[in-house]
Amino acid sequence: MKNFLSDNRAIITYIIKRLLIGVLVVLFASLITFSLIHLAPGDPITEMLGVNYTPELYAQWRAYYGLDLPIPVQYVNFISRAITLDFGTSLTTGELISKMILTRLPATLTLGIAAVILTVVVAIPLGVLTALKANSFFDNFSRITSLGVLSLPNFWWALLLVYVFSIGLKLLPVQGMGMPPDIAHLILPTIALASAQIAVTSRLVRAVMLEELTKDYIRTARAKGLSERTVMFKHALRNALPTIITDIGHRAVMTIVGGAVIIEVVFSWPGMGRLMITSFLDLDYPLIQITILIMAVVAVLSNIIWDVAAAMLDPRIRKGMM
Amino acid sequence: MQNSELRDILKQIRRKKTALVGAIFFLVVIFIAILAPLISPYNPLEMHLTDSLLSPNQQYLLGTDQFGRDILSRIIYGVQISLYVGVLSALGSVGVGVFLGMTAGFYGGKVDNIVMRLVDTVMAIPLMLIAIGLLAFLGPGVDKIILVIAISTSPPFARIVRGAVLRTKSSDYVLAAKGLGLSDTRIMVRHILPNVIGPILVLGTLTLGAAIMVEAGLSFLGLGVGQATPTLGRLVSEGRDFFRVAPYLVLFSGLAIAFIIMGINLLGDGLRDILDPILKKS
Repeated sequence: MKNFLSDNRAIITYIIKRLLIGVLVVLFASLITFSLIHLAPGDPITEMLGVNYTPELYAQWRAYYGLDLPIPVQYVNFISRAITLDFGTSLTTGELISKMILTRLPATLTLGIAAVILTVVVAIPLGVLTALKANSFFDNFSRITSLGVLSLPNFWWALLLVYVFSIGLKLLPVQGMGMPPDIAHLILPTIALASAQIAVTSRLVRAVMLEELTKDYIRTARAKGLSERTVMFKHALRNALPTIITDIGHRAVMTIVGGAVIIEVVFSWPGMGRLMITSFLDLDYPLIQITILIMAVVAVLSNIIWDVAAAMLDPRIRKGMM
Repeated sequence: MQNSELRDILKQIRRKKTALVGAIFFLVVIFIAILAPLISPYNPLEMHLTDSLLSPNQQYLLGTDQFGRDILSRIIYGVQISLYVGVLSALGSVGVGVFLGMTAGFYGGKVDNIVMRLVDTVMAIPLMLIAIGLLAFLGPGVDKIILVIAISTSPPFARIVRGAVLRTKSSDYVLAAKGLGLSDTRIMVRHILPNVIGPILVLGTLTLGAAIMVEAGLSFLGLGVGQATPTLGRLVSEGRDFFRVAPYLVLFSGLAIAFIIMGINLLGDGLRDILDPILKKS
């Protein structure tokens, strides 16, 4: 253990630093989501009770949700309860929010991770290939295609996929996760979620690779008579990888966490995004607060994980030089 | 930016094919939006109950929905709303971002710290989440949507402007302007801001596309503009209920969104290529 600590001191300081910043961002986000409930027009309690209620009943529920306490106290309560994963109950179903989230979060994570994997598997080779054949017909074709894909609204693209592969060709299920969950149900949502990401990332990989290829060590490698493939994959890609990973990470997390909301609704995927939208439409304020906060935590945490992964791949960061 | 530079950019747009195609798409969209009352064959809200769910035909070029409303007219008005929301949100976004970036960069210290942490937070959370979160508590309405999109897309502008302010704050001409006794606002607007007009223009164009996309997504989810308004996102979501019998409802409204975004993206992409050498030159 001692050895591990001293060997990896730089990376551990780095992780701690990132985590501290992450905690700050999450606290800030929690403060914002918390304040919003107080800025909201109308009163969540009257919203919940409907038209017929007595002042006593109103006061009772207000006290139950702790809404009669001073606002700073409420915030501290909110945070301390959130840390212990006690989120209270949903206004509409009365279910424990923590339990709802435990069933929904894995679905979203599955979809998100699948989309990230698909992005990496398709976008990196595509980017390298277009860099290798820069300005060829293939490169231009891929440039136009990515621009086209990026112009498609994700919900519409998802519906087109459903129309072709589920309704038309009857190859894949229309919606849901499957009972029990299976791969077939995962395919279309993953493609729908990853498409835009693949378009952006492959162009980025191309740009980073092209820049890398202008460097001196590449000329040296070529002069040594190494094959173009070795130069590309063993030299250029390896050096470009940390940049690519950090960037894929940040963008992918943003678009995938954000996009999941819409894709989950289109495919009736039982995840956090769909929970967020239903809670929104039901005006279930505590649930909206928590779902948004948790998704923010997921976004921040995934960013940290990506950065650490990139740091581990990059000796410049690993050795504490950056 | 000088007039001659603007002319330079326009000339280059004409020369660069993708930017030209984008500009043409975008002009078409603007014309459709402005001329909506003149070119739409029907009132977008008018129901023809005997003509419900017709596929495209001579009377209704793009067919009708379940209430017999003309899809073409609904799309034309949808384009108008999309563009209206998009342009106002993008302008708002630039405004908020420029204000934040200038304040942070010019005053530095604590102000800078607070503003930039706020900017970092907003950037660390996906756009759609922020938009949904804000909307949940503001309630529905076009003005609220515009406000929400403007706020959530403003951080990149704040960063660009803050960077420019920091770079030029201690340059001779800014110090000279200060020495002449010009006000802070005047120095910022007349002497610092022009440095970043190029990047703001490019980012602004791309933000316009993003804003239209977010608005469409929000209306698709049913969180957007009021119930009766035919926004493009809502048209797709309404068409979804008749996806098997009348797929053209979803198809055409989605195509309209894709057309708008494609035009804006091509234009933004082209502008970036064009402005890059100009930016490097100056």
